[in-house]
Amino acid sequence: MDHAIELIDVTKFYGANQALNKLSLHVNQGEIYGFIGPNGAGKSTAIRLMLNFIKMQSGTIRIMGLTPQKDDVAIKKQTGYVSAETFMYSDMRVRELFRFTESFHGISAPRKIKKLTDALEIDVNKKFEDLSFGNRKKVAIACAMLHSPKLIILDEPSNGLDPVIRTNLYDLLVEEQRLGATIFFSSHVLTEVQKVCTRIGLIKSGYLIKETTAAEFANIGYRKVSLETVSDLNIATLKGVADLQQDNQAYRFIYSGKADDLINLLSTVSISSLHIEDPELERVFMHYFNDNNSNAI
Amino acid sequence: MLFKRELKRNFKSFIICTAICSALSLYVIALTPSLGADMQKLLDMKLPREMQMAFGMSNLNFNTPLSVYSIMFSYLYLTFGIYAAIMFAGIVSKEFTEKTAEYLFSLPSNRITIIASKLVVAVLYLTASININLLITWVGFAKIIKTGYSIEPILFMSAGWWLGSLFFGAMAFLLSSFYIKTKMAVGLVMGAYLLQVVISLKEQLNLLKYFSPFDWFKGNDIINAAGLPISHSLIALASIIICFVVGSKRFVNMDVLV
Repeated sequence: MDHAIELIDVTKFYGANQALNKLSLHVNQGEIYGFIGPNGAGKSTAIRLMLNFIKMQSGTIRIMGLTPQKDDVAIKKQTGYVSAETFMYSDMRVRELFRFTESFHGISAPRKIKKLTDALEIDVNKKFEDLSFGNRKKVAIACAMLHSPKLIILDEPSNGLDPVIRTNLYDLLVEEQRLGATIFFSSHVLTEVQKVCTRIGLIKSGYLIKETTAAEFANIGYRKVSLETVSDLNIATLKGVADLQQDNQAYRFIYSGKADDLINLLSTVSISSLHIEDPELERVFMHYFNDNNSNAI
Repeated sequence: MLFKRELKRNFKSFIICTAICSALSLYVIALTPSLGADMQKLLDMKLPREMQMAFGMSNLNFNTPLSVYSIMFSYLYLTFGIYAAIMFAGIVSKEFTEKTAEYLFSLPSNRITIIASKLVVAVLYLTASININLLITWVGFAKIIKTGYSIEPILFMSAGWWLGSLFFGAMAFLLSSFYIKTKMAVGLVMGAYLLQVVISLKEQLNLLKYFSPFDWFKGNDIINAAGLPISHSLIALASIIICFVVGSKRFVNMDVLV
């Protein structure tokens, strides 16, 4: 069976700047693929190439077995796309935008629109220009999904959405996946891709550092620890501590050792505050980057 | 739906341009019976000969109502030209400046179909505006002048406006594929108008007439020849086709970057 998305050695330059460097990845049909990377990593460039918005210098792209340059309309009939920055016709009301989008797909989908507007809490009577950034995003998501596409490409979809709507969006995506859709989801927020994606690709400086499953990704084996104690603590002696920063009795470090060892050490002192968090995206990248010690997987 | 949207989006400017041109036409027609043969005296009193040359009025005779009306030719040409240039310059490029291109081009339609639909709307509005002006002029002549004129020269003048304005529109469309700012459209038409003024003042620059769209079609020449100049019409037509083809090709291949 064809992959839903297949990129082979895709290279893209903007003038002298290389945006993508022999990027290769594939997304299986029916999966939710998280595409994560810091700003400027090449996520949006890869998406724009998939949708034939821009032209690449070399490489091959296939979307559902079709080539973007040749089969532009056929691909877009089966694809829903939400851009990172949402710009639609500001003078149109939301319901007019839905009708406008429907007309291109040659459909009328009142039930699907009702479902989407209910889930995302969209007011269809408002003009697009009167909407907040978050509400504009919701309209763009609904427009991208109203024709029940086989492939949904979302570029930073949760930007500007409140937590409730964000959860509703994840539910919608999971439901679309259950109905057979493939979802390609770009983000720089680790927790949201961990929540919904089955597989995750990490991109940095235009090349793929790592492809992993969500389960493996959640278990990268180290956490960011911040704590304050009432007496001195010799944390540096603990195995697995890195990047230690100490300010009097306040400590911040990255911990990749055994949880038991950390708890045993902490039990010897009185602790006034303790935070254990996921590491930042950049740190995760460094982790994989150092592990692989190469430019690509 | 895109066609309908473009009609709605460009309706206001259509109404404004049509109203201005039609009002100007009616105003001049209404003045014609009272001015008539005194028009030349009035012109000589108000405008030096050089200025008359610059504004293309030196060869006019005011013996007939049509020749009085032909004074308006260059002004309406200028107005229709500016209208067409602004409309065509923005018809596709606005999708890029307003950053809606990504949404529009993510919909399942060929870029060339989208561009063609937009161009058709612009051509329709320009044609409609000129035709409404023609109709109002015709009615004005019938009701105010009543006799001693023929409608044929007015038809040819309208055809001249259409071809000349469409040329400006096509040029502005092509330029907008290089430089996406609609202000340049007004600059293009005003520049061409100034070129015509300079050419009419210096006989040595006569050869430049082939490059000056305001020299291609002149009211008095159209009335005297009872038709449009073939060579200039062909130059305009060929330029229009080239500009539309090249401009469309550029927009089809343009990167969509928000």
